[in-house]
Amino acid sequence: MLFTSLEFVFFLPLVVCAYYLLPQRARWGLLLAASYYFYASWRVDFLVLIVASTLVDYAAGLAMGGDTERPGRKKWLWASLGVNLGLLFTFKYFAFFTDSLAWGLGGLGIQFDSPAFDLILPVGISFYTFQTLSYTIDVYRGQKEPERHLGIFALYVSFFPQLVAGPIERSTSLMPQMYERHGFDWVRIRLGLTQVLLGFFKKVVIADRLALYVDEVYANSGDYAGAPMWIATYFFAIQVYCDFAGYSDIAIGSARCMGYKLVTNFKRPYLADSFKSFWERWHISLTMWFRDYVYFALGGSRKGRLRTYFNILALFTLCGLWHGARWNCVLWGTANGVYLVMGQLTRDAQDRWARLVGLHKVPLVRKVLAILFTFTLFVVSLMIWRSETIPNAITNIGLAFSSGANSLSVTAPMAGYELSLAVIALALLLALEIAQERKDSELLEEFNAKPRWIRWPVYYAGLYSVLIFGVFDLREFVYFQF
Amino acid sequence: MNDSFDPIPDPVRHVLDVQGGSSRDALASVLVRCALFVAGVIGIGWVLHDLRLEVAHPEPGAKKRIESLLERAPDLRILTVGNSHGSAVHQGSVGRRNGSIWLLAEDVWEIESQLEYLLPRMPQLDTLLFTASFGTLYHDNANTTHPSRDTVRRFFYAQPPGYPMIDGDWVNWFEGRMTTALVRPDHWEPVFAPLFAGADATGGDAPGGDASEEDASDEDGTPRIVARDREPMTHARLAEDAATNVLPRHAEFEENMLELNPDVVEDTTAVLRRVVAMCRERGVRVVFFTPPYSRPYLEGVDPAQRATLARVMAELSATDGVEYHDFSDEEAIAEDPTNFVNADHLSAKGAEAFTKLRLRPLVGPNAAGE
Repeated sequence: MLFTSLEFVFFLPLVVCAYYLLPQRARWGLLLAASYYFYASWRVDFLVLIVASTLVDYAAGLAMGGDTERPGRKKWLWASLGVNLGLLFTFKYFAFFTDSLAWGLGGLGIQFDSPAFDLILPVGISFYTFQTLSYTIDVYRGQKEPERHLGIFALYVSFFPQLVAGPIERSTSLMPQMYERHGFDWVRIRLGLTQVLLGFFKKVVIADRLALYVDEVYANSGDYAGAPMWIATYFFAIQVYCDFAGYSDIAIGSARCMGYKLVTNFKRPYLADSFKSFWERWHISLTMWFRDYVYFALGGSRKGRLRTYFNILALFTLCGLWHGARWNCVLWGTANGVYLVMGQLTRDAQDRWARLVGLHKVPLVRKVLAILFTFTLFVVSLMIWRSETIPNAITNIGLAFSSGANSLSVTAPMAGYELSLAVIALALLLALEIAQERKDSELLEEFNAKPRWIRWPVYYAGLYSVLIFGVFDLREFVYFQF
Repeated sequence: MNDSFDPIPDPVRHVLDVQGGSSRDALASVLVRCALFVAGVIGIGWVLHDLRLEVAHPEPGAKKRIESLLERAPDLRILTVGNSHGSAVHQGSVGRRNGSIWLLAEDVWEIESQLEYLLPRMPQLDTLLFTASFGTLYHDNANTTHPSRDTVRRFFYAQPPGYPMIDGDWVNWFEGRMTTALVRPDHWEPVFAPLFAGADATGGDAPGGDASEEDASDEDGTPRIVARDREPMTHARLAEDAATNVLPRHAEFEENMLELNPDVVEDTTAVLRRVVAMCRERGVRVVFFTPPYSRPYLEGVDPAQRATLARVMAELSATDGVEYHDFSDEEAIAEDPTNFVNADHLSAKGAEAFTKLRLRPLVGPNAAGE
């Protein structure tokens, strides 16, 4: 069941109404049933994996207990890691690993036939795996008491608003909310529904419309060089942001309707003026997960500069691998790690250069240039991600930097009407994001407090914008492939 | 109870018989507001639905037809323009490199605007077939009190690809273009149609005839004018249609036009001269023709109207590369009533017979079967 499907439009209000009609003690059961139904709507057999993961981590948590001194706890942690990462590896990375091994051995003259397993990647496995692992690691570290209520724990693993594409929640944040009594608060529900509407706008009006342009150019990249390739990649950057941020808005808004507060997953990443800032704003829940459970485990920045840079590169390479079982994704991740390291290495040089050209006198100009530079570098890395293979990526980068003399025009990939709509919608989104950045506050909450004569026209405009201008070919969210 | 909750307005509270400050109060307030909001959603939907009916011209397939023509534009040799009488040209009998862009109830200003857009995109065009009915010179969609005329003009602007605006026709242009943006015909069906399935209705009172998607198109998708019912056409029915429907309607129409613009004939003639000049610039031969009509219609039409058309056409065809052919009294067509769907429009059978008989020889020996 996609968030942007008609089924979900009926599913969410039904669940929310039932939630408030039921007494507190029965609500976890309703949400668990709804979450399993939501997940099973993709494939029923996917439930086996999530239930298995749930039972293993529930048992591991109880076995480790709250006492960090208890002997034998580590083996339960390893068991949890083994099962969860094993499932993730099997379904997501096995084919990638064996194909890469075959290619590598083939280069050495060794014949290796990679076994052909036709395994379908379960939707959201990368997300709920990380979510359950954060629980077992936190229990191991003594940061979280093991959860004794199996139903609550199962709900933590499978909570439908954030099950298939995040935000990746921590047990210390989400689980306590499952014990709280959430009273009927119309203002909060209204805020949640407004956020859901915003998510729909980002997804079906912007992301899915830009995808028409991006898909056309990248599917026929030989016909497009120069400006169209650049525009398509910039559009892809916005597509993937609006797709993912739109999903997150729908997820956060849906949870909010029932009184649950999920972590903010995006904070205007394309307005970042450095890569450090960018990765503090983009897919925040994943970045924090990697920081807390991988970067710090590798030593973080405590073991000298060289080791810090190595840790950063390793972290982002893993991050790239998480994003996809393809060498393009790995390279994309590594590229972002390189950007971060280079940003740190050249920080002083950047300041000196800014002083040299007088940019220190015009901080706003410097900031805007820094934002554009950061965004463009990210866009270049996205050319790697979006391409089918690495040779294809090299070709596409070459096409982007070519003169484009024989290329089709920039308006060839999409009808003028569609392109105009996309640009107008983007302009609206940019205005909203800049306003939010300047105020550094949640505009949605401020808007929610406005009188009805201001809110209702915006609701109607938003709703009918989605209905009239939305691209409804039920394109899956980009991050579902993870 | 949340302090941020607004109380129910007193009149509503009285109607709902709730007491202040309770969760029942809260729920009732929410339900009232939700109901009002949903009523607003439905209200806006109904407005859009009515707008769509405005734009949903009696020829719902016009958009697809035009898009199909635009795809073939660079290869076309012959183009048919005109009002509903353009349906007298059976495209399949003229040859494959032919297209038609006639629209129901078009006036000559709209035809000029279409050609301004299309001619540069048709480098191989060598012949323009222009249907000139008896009412063509009296037809001005912008200058009328008849409500359906503005609808036609808005519909014209709503069509792809966005024809140039005619003579400062801002209001219709804006409404036509906005309506396209708001009520995209290709979007209406999957998103809105299920909501309005019971209330939907096709078209309105369209001047110039009816076109139905059902069973009414040439091989290239050009629609046919179809009869109002499925009964076989007879001479008696043609006579009745002429006497009770077509002739009175056309007379009223002409009277209305002349009343609002006594110079309408001079104005439309000036437009036709511009069209001729546009075509001559590009070496396109212009063939004006009046299609066959049923005998009852011919006998009842205003002789002054026929004479005016003949005079204007004679003046235009004095120019090199311009011809006029009056096929209105074509006995071979008129003798068979099944060649007509109503008193003044040919049926598919009649159009095919007429095209093979009169038009195919006109537009070149290689056109057929090309």
